[in-house]
Amino acid sequence: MSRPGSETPLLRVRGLEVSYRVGVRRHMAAVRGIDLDVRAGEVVALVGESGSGKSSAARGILQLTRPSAGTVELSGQELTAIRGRELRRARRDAQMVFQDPYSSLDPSMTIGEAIAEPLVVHTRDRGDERRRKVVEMLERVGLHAHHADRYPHEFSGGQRQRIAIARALVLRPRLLVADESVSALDVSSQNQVLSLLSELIADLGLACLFITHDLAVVRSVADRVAVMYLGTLVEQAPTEELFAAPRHPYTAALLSAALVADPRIQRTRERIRLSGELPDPRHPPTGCAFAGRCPYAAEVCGDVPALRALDDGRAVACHRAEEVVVELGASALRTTTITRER
Amino acid sequence: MSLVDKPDGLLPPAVESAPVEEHGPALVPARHESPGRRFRRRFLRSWVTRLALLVLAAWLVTAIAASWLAPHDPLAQDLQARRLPPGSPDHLLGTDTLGRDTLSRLIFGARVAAQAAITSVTVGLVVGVVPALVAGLLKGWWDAVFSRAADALLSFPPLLLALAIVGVMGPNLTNAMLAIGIVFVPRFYRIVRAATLSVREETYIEASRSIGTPTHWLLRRHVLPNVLAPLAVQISIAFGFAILAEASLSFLGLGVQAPDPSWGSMLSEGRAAWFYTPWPLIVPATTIVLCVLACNVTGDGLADSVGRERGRA
Repeated sequence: MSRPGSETPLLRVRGLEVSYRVGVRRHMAAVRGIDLDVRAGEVVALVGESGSGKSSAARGILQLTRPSAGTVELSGQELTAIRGRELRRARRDAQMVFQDPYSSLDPSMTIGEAIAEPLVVHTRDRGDERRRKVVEMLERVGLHAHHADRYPHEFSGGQRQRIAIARALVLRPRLLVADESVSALDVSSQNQVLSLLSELIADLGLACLFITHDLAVVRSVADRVAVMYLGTLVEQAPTEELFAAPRHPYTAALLSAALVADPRIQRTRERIRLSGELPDPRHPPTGCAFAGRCPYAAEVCGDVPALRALDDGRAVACHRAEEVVVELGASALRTTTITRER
Repeated sequence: MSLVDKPDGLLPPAVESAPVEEHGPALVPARHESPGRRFRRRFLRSWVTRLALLVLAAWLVTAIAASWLAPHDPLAQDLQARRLPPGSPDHLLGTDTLGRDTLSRLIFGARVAAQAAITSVTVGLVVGVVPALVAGLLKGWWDAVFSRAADALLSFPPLLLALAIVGVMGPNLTNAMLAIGIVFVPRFYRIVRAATLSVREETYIEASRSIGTPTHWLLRRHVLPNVLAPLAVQISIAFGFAILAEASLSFLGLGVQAPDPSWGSMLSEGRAAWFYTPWPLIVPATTIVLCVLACNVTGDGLADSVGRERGRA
């Protein structure tokens, strides 16, 4: 899917910082300066553990929380510089599917009304035309026309997420941000919704920022992966290369924590166990944020490592990235039986 | 969009077609009940609520059709027929000290009470709800201003506030209704603001914002429908309070002016001779109790039938 990187990306994020107020005149930086590009038609996964700032990054990108610093450009338009009506108009091109399918649909609106809402806000479609688009979208996500007159409480989690997807795609946006969109679902509907999502992304040629903590999911949908740790990006690489040979010790630990479907391999695998917890983002450690838990930590790690480009087009924020490669027995991970849907 | 609620709606014909097969019939909800019907089923479940609704309906019909229903002119005095007990041939509920027909006065009093209740609740809603939605959704500066104003109004005992307002504006029915309406403003404000605060945290508000929905649409299409439930409960209780407040003001001579009938002024007139003829006092008093009770029971019924369904207790 990914195209040559020479063209300007659809989404261009530079130095994004998102912080929240905690108490009086104190702020907590959830995202501490990230750079990220998503090209047209590309699926980029943003991964990281809970509290790493993935969702805050998504909210900052879509201007649901105003970033405290940095710029976000969507098709050349700087979202961080506009507001009011102009921003609302720009939202048409970037839609979002939320994590919780139970609270992301208004209980007082029928499904048809919910899916039609973007059309009402952004288009002049009326009556039959609007209805036609809603029904088309409903069928596209595997539901039926007669569901349009029902209410959210009559549907299961998986169905609701399909509805949320229909609503996000009815305007044919260029970018879809999926924030943990399947993690609230049980495994069987997870797979269905996931394959639906990747099918639609491919069909409509969407770019997608896919936020998740589930590496199995990443592998099945993403072209490229960006790994977040404590509000910063620690590694960026094409999916297969990242899984084959992680360069950042944190990525390596994440991969080794993922379960392998084959129990024989799973039993014999050597896991990298991280000590400690994610540091408190209100008091981020000085130097490399990961150093406190890193098996490779050394004296150089007292300095903040910049995200540097490696020669193979990947980027990593680690002083000792070159040494990490050898020691991880990532070959076992290759045998994970996750089939790519596309 | 028409309601599809036919049996064939439950089993979609498209089950056979390949792409939707895996999420075909199993995904279709078993039972489809529109919110309106669900509400009615739950609301009318208890006979107490049904009775209360009947009382309210009777009250409103009486208020509207007062001129046709009343057997006599409520102001006509008949000094030949004073202090008749209920059950007298021409005066079903008897007469007062001036020989006026109690039933007729009661019927016209119902009209005054209904007017007062509807007007004051409307005033309270119009003035209270919009600031509450704005304050709840936007918080910050607007919230601070509106909420302090509401607190200021709330710091007065309700009837005292109404008395003060009528005192300033002059005693008549219109002013009494406005005064009661102003008493309602901070109460509606508080309810709606609190509900809005909880609704605004729902993801569907953010989801709609992410689509690009303007704020006033958010308020109208997402917030208002979802705060309507607690508001409806408050409204029906406010109706009860309005009846009581109008009666109180009229009793004190600050609402309806003599000789016009109101349940409150009837009480005040009946008070003088209650030891000899209690009927002119008992009849309006009972009516007030009945109507206020009906309003409160309806409010409880509403509270039980909106929101999440609980098992039958």
